[in-house]
Amino acid sequence: MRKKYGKDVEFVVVYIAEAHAIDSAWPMLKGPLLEEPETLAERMANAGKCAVGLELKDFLTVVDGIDDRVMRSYQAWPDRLYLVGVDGKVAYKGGKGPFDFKPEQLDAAIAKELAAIED
Amino acid sequence: MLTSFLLLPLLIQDPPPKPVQEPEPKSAWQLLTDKYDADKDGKISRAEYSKDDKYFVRLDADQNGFIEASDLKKLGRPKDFRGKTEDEKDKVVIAAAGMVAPDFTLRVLEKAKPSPAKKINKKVGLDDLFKPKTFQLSGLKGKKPVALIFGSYT
Repeated sequence: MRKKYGKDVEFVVVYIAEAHAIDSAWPMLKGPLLEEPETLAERMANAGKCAVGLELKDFLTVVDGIDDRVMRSYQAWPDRLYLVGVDGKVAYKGGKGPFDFKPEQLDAAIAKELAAIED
Repeated sequence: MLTSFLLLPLLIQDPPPKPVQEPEPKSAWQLLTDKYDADKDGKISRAEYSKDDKYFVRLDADQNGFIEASDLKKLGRPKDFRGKTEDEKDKVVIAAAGMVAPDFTLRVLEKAKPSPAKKINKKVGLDDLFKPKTFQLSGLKGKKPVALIFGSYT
């Protein structure tokens, strides 16, 4: 999707609280074994591992503060997709992940937004 | 006898080394006790836990002064992390379709090479590893749409 729209849309990964930290109610042992970070530095280190592990180097990645303010504002935990239109308004608010994390819906929202800009 | 001679090379040669594999941890609790339970008594005391008080309080769900395996099953969701609830004064604006997206400015993760001077000092901190660059969502208003992908590595 980034290849398809990368010139016209800014794709931003927002790194938030861990979904399955080992010191959480839902630890996941298959995959990265991380504790919930205590500081921004620790969260940035986790985000760095993620960027390498998931090959996100071409994405702009930003890291939520340790107060989780942006995550809470966007009800983003454990994962969620949004499209913010060129007018600064929320054009698409995806469902709560992982079950309602639907990239195809974001794709459709982007196509609609870009078509509206062209008109 | 012949059979024995044929087997001789197998006895002389070292067996091929087995690939080293990290054993998969049995549980998250095992990982935590391996790291923090210094006296190996099966629970983690405040003295053993190196992180901040607020994290200890969160993990010590039954508030008995120790983190135990049973505590992990009682943990709350991240909105309860660090004692924050929806009712606290740092209540946030909730994003919804059609409304102006709540603005934010966050640190950008971008690896940078430490400068030679910093290499000499060997005091390489966060700002040396990551450029202290920020991203403000509203900075792209009127320029291009922004797709926000929220998530974590776990």
